[in-house]
Amino acid sequence: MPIEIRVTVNGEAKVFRVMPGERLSEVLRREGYVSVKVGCSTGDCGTCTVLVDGEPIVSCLMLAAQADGTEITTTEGLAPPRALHPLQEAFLDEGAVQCGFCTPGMLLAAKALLDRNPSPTEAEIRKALAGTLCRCTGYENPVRAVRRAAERMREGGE
Amino acid sequence: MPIRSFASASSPGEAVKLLESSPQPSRFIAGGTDLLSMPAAPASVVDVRRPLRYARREGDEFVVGAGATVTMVAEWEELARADGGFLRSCAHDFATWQIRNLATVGGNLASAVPSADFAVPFLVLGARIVALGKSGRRDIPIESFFVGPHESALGRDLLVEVRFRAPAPEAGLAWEKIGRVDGDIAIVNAAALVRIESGRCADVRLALGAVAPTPIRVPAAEEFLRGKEPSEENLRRAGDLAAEASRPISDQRASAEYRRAMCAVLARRALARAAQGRGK
Repeated sequence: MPIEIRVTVNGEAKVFRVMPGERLSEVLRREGYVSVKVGCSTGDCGTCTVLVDGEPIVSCLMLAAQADGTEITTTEGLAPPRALHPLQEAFLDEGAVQCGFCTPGMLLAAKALLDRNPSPTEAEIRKALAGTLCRCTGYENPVRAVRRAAERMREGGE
Repeated sequence: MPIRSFASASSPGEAVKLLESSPQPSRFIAGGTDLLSMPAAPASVVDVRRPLRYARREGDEFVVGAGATVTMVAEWEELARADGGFLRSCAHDFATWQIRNLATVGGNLASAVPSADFAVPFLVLGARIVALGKSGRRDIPIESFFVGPHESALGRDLLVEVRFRAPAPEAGLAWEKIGRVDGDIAIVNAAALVRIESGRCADVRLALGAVAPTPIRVPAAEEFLRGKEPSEENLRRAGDLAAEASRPISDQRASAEYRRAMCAVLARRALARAAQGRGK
């Protein structure tokens, strides 16, 4: 029996019909939020990261039914269409994207970090990104990109 | 077969009733990080997070509801002041940020895996588990909670909350963990409490995880140290006793030999840090 859930995705109120066993990652992709990648479905890789009520979570380990009533942010919601968030700009500038599969998870974990801590240390950036595995093993550039985005956002007063 | 029924409970009592009336086999779900990463799914789940998402002080006891996430415990300032950041350091070493925001402390205990990170500090703190089932409410001391791998004294009951007293302010506490990478499941984890009186160990509690079918206390090491000075030689001997008490297995993370060797190291380190008191 499908269940109706009411959520806000990237600022828009939505009603989704979901099956009891469906994971949030599956429902978001079906509803068109394809920035949400599914790598492992066991919570290990972190590329399915979304923000639920501002907190980064692996959406493959949350039942969609459990998300009823929450506010969800995906990478699509980082900036308006055709615009880029300072984190996305910094990832481009620093060459922090290789194959790109882990990038949505990295961006959202980084956003959640900067929302809480506008001036993170390198250790804090590394701890925040530790839940997203990059199998191209390109961790240095994402760390630099987050630091650069943080600098620009502080200067820009965002 | 996927999960085919989902119900959200508004109270612990309702959760217990829903578990019985749902298609079988049925399971409680909180953070879901263990349940949803297992290959076999139950026919139905009863979500218990909403009524049990609390972490609060009640008199001289700290109470962690079964819906409280690892992050909530990590960010609990009043607790960190009372235990010197002991449980916070365990929470920081637990999995990844994305998991800590979902996974619950209660679920970590209820899954009853031998490596459960929170089992070890709670053994040291002498926590008790409040359970609710068809025959009513009962308290389970954490000492008798873990029965075997994936098996606890809960049976079909709901883990409602974990309760523990604030440790004495003069008692030192320490947490240690070795994993393959940051956030990995423990190869060995350890926790210790030591209260020094006139230069000698008056209270000693030592617990280890991932080195036996259940998380364990190590009475032999505790008794050995009690009444003695926390000298390097005595701490080393206590560590050796911890290794002797372990019954580790070899798996993909480490060999039994390595685990036994690390028992001695982590036990000694935890006891030594705890013996130095708070803030060390």
